Amino acid sequence: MPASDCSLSTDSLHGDAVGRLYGEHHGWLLSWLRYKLGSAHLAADLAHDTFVRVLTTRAQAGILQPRAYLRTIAHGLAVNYWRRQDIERAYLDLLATLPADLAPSPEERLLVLEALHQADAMLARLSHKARRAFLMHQVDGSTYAEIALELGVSDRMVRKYVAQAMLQCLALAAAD
Amino acid sequence: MANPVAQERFIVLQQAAEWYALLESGEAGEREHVKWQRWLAADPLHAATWRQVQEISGQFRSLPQAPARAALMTGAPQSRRAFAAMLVAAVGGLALWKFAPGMAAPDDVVAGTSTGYDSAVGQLRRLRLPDGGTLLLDTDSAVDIAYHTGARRIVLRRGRIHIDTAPDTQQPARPLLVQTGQGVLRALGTRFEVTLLNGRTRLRVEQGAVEITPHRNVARVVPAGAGAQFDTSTIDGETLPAHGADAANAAHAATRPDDYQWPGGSAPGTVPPAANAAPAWTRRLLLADNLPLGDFVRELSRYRHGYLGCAPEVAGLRLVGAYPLGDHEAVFAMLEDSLPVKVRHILPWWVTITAR
Repeated sequence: MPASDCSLSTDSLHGDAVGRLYGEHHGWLLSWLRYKLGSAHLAADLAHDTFVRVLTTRAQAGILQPRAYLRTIAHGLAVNYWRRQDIERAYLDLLATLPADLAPSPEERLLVLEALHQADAMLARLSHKARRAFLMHQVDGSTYAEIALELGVSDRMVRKYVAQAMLQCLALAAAD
Repeated sequence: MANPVAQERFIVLQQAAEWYALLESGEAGEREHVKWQRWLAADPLHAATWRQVQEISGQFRSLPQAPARAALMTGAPQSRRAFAAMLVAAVGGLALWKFAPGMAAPDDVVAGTSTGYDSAVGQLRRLRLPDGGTLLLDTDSAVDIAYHTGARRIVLRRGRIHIDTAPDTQQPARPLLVQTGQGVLRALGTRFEVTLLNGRTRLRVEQGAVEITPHRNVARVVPAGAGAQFDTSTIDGETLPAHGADAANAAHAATRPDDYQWPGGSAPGTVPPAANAAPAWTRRLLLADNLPLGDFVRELSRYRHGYLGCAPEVAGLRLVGAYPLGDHEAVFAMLEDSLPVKVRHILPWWVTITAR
């Protein structure tokens, strides 16, 4: 099939380009990350993930400023990493307050964490208030009036926040 | 946005999000609903997008409440630790537990000496009492809890609770009392359920015993495996049904408090659960043992917002099974599979069950 031959050859070209990128900039990225994060171990992980991301991204045909490009990806991954850490820590803190016999099993914890990470990612780009309004409504079942009072905004604004949040989730789902 | 198709698609997403925000506000009137219906019907893409909206909303609604609050709803990150500790004291419970159905719900710890707690429609809320006992609030229920020098007192304001008592942490031990509009129940080392009906209180004892004192009568002890209903002056003993008949409960009994017969007998091949087992609702299940669909629907509707009804011609159909209270769409699918009925979502909050 000509079509698949064609895409195969693009892929291997792409692989070559990434290989070159890796050879020229991996050491630099690693030291930059180590400096940023203060952990060699974490820096190695994120540098690796950065190149995996480059490898799976198609829009890299001609990268004019490879270091800026890598830094942008690595920065996004680091933010993501810290965000996930925050969520895990908050969940573990909560679990720590439970009596031992009520603690969920490791499998159950993973399921809950995955659900939390997923939800968090869906709301990633929202303003703090929009995110809070949406979660208060969905998770707590708070009314718009209650949310408005809590956030110090109008009911109308709460409606806007809910619409914004839903739109972002829809847009993300559509992009998949 | 240069691509006109993508832009058109985006406009639909925007419209769907705005409809959602409007309908959720509770302020949409008849006119808006008609307009929204028209929008839905105007284009298959609109309907498909709306399904997506419902899916997303369902995904968030089914997040476990306490973890979601702790991990997602916190303000500044540095305040997170304090917030997590605070929320355990103040809030929590269990939303619809889609992602981890069997997981133990984080408890709310009852800390103060006198506090009110309630559960939302559809919520099962677990409270840890100061003595280590457990109190479960069924859907749409409310209690006041006051642990004082003389007594551990729980006032049932609304709905249904299940209590698993613990020995008092203080000496001499204080009695554990549940108070309703009709009288006082005193736990005698026990596990039991109390339901508020129309002007009556219903008790079911699983373990130990409970002493009932109606406001205008003398006390009587109800042993494990038995139940009773009482008003301010009289107590009627009840034989405890197998918990298969759990569905015939508060809302249901409220409509026919006195003459209702528990659905008897069980379907071939099913084993009736023991009368001294915890009621199914504490496991977020609705058990039906040869229950008429009409009664089943009435019970299920206590666990959801909006209207849920069934047509008279199918209300008498009998059903058997265990239905997840936390996943109504699954319940509807099960009904459609097992009975000649069709579940119609006329509006998201208006569902009717009709003959197929």
